[in-house]
Amino acid sequence: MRASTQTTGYLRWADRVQLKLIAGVAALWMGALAPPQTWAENAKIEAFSKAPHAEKINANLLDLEAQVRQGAMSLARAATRMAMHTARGGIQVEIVMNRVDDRVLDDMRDMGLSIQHVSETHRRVTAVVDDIAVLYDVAALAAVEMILPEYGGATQSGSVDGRASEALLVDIARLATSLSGAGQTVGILSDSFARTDRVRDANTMPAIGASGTLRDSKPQQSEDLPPVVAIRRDDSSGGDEGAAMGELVHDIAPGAALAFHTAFGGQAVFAEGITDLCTTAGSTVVVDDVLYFAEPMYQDGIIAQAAADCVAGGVPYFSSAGNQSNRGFRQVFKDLDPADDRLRTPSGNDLHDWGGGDGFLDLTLPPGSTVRVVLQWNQPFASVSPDQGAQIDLDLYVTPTPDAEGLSNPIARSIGQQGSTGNPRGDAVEIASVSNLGSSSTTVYIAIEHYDGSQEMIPQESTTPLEFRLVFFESNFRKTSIQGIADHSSSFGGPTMYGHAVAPGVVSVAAVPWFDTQMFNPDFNPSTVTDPEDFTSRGGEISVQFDTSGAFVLRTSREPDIASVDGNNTTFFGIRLNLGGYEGEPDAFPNFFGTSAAAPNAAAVAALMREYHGALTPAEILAAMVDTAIDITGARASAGHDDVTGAGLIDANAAIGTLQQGPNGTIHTPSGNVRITSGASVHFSGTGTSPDGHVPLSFFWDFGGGAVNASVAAPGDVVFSRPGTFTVTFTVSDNQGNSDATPATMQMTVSAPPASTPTPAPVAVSGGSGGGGGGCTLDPNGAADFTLLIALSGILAYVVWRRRGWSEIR
Amino acid sequence: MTLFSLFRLPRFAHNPHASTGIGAMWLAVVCCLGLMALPSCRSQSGPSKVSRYSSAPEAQKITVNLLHLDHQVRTRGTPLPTAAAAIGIGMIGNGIPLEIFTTRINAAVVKKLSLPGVQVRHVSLPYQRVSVVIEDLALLFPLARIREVRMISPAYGATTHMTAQGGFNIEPVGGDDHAS
Repeated sequence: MRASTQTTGYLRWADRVQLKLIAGVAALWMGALAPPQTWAENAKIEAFSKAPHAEKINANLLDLEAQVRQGAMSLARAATRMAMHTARGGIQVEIVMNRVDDRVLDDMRDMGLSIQHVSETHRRVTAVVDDIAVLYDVAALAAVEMILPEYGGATQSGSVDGRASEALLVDIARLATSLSGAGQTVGILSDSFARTDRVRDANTMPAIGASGTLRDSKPQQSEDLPPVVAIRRDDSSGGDEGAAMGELVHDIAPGAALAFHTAFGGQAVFAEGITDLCTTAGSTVVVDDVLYFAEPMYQDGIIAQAAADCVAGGVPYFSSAGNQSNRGFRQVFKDLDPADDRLRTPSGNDLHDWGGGDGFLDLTLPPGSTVRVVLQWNQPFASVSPDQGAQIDLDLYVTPTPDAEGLSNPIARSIGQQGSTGNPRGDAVEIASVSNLGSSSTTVYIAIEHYDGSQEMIPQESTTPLEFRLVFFESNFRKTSIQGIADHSSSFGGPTMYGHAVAPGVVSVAAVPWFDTQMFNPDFNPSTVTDPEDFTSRGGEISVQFDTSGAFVLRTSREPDIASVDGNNTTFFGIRLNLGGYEGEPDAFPNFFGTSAAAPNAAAVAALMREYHGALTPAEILAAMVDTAIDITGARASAGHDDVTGAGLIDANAAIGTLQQGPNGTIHTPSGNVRITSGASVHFSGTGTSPDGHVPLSFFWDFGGGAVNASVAAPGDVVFSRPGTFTVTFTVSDNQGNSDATPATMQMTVSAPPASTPTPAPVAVSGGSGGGGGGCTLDPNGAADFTLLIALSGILAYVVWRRRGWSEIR
Repeated sequence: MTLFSLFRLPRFAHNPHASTGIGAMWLAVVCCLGLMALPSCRSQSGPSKVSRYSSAPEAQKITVNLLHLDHQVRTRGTPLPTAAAAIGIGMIGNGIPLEIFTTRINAAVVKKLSLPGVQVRHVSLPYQRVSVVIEDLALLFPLARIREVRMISPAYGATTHMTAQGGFNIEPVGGDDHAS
């Protein structure tokens, strides 16, 4: 069958009789040659479907259809698992035809196919289908030879498939736009990039810790990093987390260049690194995964200022939200005994009341663990605004017993010198650390002592109470028992995000494990909710209360901004995930967890967006991500913008989709509405343009039922055979499937031919004078030629208009 | 005596003898001024945390936690890593990382800061900061005596936001902490 129809197309010159004869012979010949193969193919096909014409449909598509029909999973997810390209909720197919004409294309459109490209040369149609069952109808078309899935090009780089591309729906976007991050440079700040032998070998250049162009590192040899990476400054310590972030970026945006600057070495190194990447290194997107413990919570420190400047300069900046979950407090300071405000060794009466008159917060550490406690309160930092430091002095104690004796002999205490009301001094931060080196759990107590300055309203603003934030950094993550934080829900604890991640314009990124997203969760169904990572830091409404001069200027923001996936494969970094039942896991590659992994995945999507539209501002990129995010409503998260996942999980396909601009079409001829009589023809032509450069364009003339629709830009003379008023619509589509949102239209008024009436005799008109003369023959019925005879000085001009109906069209 | 006078102030103020009344008024004003000055006097003259550890003028530039650290090591014999860890300071080698905030920074100031035993790790011209590591806490004082030094703080370090494991019911550990 296939051979015969191909022969039909090939031998167009043959007359129908010859053609049928040749086709019949060829079919018999081919049929005789290949029965075993046909039998085998049919057996596989029949396993999925016995529908007529199913043999034209690729067995994998049939398998896909069967899975969807049985409700096993969504079309997009099932297709992705089969490595097929998906687009806008449907799948892309390639249809091999034996002929391509307007009629069959119309039929396909009527069946619901969105035709993206028509190749008359190769007799192929590329289309997107939302309902895969429609393929049976398509297969029934005589012009259709074969329906194949579109597998597309390579979407992953290197040896490792991180699966962030699928989870964030990047692959779908890439299919629609062929984006790779080309022309973009993603700047990365982390610990180090090429220090360890997990990244380096003997061929790797430059030397450890040196700046320069990185070549021949192990991930570069396996093509998991670009062949060159600009190392602006590396660090002599660290675990090369920067390279792991680079692998994630490269997976999603393999065409983007990478630049790296260490964030370690001090806050100034970090801040200068941001400025370097955003300016000198020419980064178009910047991402980091580092927090300095002493970054101010209530004021923008130098890192936050540098990141905000980067954004103000037009470079989108992404930062990890943090991994502290809800393990912190934000409370108004409530003195146990305001009258007792002594300045020496605390008595236990001048402590913050954690509730019920208790000045001590219980902290139970499991064996072998360490907890770092960071205390800050709403006062400025002298290190940021030298003349306007803190005017309130709080101290932090970790005690063995919950009493005055414990305060006198603390396990740890941080008693930095801050100022008093009217006497600003120091930074409003205290940090203490406690370890349990024993073999059993131990309980210690946290106390916050008011040492000096106001203890109710802050000196800088008379209506703002003194409040503090306490954040716990646990080596045993979430195994410490913290009084008042019963679990990880937002019912307990407080925000733990702070520092440059909440700076103006900086995109703070939460984490969702890739294997719990719709694409990969094997149990996913329409009512399934996706859970964020237990550890991803809680945000909410974060207030920064002082400007960089130390003046009280309130700024609030809702954090985090967005969520992205983590837990993706890298070549060397992370842990080997032992999750049976998930896509490909366990596999041979370590998985990179934490908001450190989520942020580069988000930044890579931004690189694709900037490739798509280089003029996009950071705010526009964030708005597109937020507006199209997949709401995450699982554990700790909630519907809408929440404290844990922000607007939700990035949907790269939808975010990029908001940036797409449809093509524009223009009707050139006719230039306006036309009136004709039925049976007459009108010449049609049009052109189209794509603002995005998404060519080739496809065209569709819908003559409103007055004539046969056409799929070319200039269908030429079109005959309208029946009377009526028809709206002609000229729609242009680009190669992404985007159509002109306001297609050009015009009206055709086709009237019936006038009823025949007795033909009056032609009227002869003559006149002239001198040597001239003239004559005119009129046919009042309009059916005959209109003849005008003019004789001028013996020269005969003979002009004929052919009249059709009321309009002269030639 | 002061209290006695204060109690009798109304009587004095309403004394029909003008001279006594005026005197009482003056006394009241003085007393009020004195009372008003008390809180600020306390703030300014109260026991400075710095003074617990050092009477040297330059000690005012040194964060109290560093002075306390020096005190613990010097007088109590607490190992430096142990004492530093208790206030969240990570060691770099055998030394303590410091952030030195300056009023201005140039080559001459950096040269002054480069005392024997002071390892200068980063000089930030834009932010007028110098990151150093010292193994001997006694160096805090000569550093603080440099005129351009405004403040000396410990560098509390940084962490990345990676976890060794993730997902549900999988135990992650902390990020890549760094003493900086």
